[in-house]
Amino acid sequence: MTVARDAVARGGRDWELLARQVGGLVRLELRRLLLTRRAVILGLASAVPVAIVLLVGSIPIGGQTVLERFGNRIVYETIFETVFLGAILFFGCLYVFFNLFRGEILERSLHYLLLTPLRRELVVAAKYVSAVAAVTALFMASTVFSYMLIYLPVGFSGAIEDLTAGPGGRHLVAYLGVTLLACIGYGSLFTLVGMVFRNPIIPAGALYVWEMLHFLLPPALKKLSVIHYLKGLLPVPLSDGPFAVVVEPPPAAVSVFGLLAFAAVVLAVTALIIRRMEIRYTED
Amino acid sequence: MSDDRNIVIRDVSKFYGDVLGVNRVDLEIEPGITSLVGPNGSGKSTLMNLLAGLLRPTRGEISVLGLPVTRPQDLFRRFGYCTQYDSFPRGATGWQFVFSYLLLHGLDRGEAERLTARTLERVGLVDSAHRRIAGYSKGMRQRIKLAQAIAHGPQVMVLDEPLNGLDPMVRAETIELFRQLAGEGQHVLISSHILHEVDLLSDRVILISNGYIVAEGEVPGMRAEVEEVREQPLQVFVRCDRPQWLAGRAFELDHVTEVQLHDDGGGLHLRTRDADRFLRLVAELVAEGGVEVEAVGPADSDLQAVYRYLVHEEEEPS
Repeated sequence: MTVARDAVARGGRDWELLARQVGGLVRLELRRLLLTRRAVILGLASAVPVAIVLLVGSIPIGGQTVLERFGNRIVYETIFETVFLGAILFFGCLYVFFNLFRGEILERSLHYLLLTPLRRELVVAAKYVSAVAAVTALFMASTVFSYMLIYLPVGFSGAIEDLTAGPGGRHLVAYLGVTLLACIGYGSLFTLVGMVFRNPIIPAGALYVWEMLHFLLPPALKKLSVIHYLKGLLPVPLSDGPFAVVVEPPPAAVSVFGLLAFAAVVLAVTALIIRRMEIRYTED
Repeated sequence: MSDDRNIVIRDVSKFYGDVLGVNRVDLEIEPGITSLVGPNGSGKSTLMNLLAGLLRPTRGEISVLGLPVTRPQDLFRRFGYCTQYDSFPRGATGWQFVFSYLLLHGLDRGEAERLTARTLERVGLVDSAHRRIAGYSKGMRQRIKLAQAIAHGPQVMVLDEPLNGLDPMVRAETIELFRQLAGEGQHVLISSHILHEVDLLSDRVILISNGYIVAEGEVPGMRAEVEEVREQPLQVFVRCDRPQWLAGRAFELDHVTEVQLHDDGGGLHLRTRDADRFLRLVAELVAEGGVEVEAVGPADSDLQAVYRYLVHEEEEPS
């Protein structure tokens, strides 16, 4: 009798068995993502916004720090939108999610996962969820730390007051939500890109240009960019400059559910691809 | 025997674009040790990858114990595959490698630990279990792949060149392990180009060349089953007291194509298209007292000979 049938015979129902299998894969992936060099690189990247906010909040220029001169909310929003959302989240997700399957194809170890009694669709789902969990944990920590640093000019009591009685708490939740949704949206996209392309440079470059120049796009095309929905959720509206095609941001619910639906569709396509995938490493 | 107990391959072809992988393969493999033998590039690994669902057939159907190979959730509870790929998840130790994949079978940690320990002991890697696989020798890597393939107790084990890189002692132990597994009623399908090993350990052999199955069957009976082989001259040796005289008698037979006397003058080798008739002649001559025979027998009835006849000699890897 095989061990899996033994497990069922010992009283484990099918769904319990499945939960253990998926849990096993998630743990395996989390270990791979968080206990390897990849985690160090991501950790360093996620420290960049913290370092920048620390810099603009602690070094006075002309008697005032940048935070004091321009206002901490405006400065943080600018850093979050341009540095964090505009570069670190995008490239961090590219680094992790592109390699989710492509990395294993290049290492010639993907077949081990495909030789387990798990539907291939579940392999995609489990790897994706693990990567979202790992990346989100790092980037949310970065968001929280960097956000707390905007309170350097007002001190601890000022921070507590703003977070509890003022808009600070709501803003922080919004930034965390955007971080999570960015990981979900870009993560699904780069998982698919990693399945289809061997080299990320061209597709990722094209996507990056599309995302960064979305403010120049006509309204109909804006809807085809992830960042359009993410920016609609940011708490402090910033101008995109004189050349921007200005449109009303989508309602928060549309942004949230739209991005979740987008990720689900992209993952479904990825699952279809892996379902039909053949292991022929020599071609890769 | 029912399809639910066998590996069934029905009219399967696999093309990589214009390149043939395997063509029109029709096989039904029963439990026991079956060896798939052929030179490099003959289609052995393609056939095994098709069995594991890692490749999709261009045409035809495959089932393993009645299960379609397109349903991993069912197939891999009963199927273990040791691939040709000599690669592993980065940074994994032998223990982690086997243990992690047992967890993916849905085992709890305690059970997975118990089976990991048992399997590593079976393949002789207990002492190296907590070393990184990257530092393993070729033979150890072969054994850890084998451990991963058999750890969950599959009924069907497909092992692509599992004896490659093993030293003679470990090779003998591994062959013994295959025999144990087959003795428990399991399918053990092994690919190899080391013919003398296959000859000794297999219940049956499948010969593959250029993507085609050229022969299949039990080793001793294989020659008789293949028409082309029947037409090939069989080499027979005779150790006797009058080899020259026997050579003269043999040349009177139209099915004898070549005779060669042994250098020591104590026997001869000959090639015949009808070994049975020649052996009857020898028996008659002995009975008449014309010659005293010390030993007689086919000089090339092992699998190597069949293989040589069926597959081009220049492709022979051993």
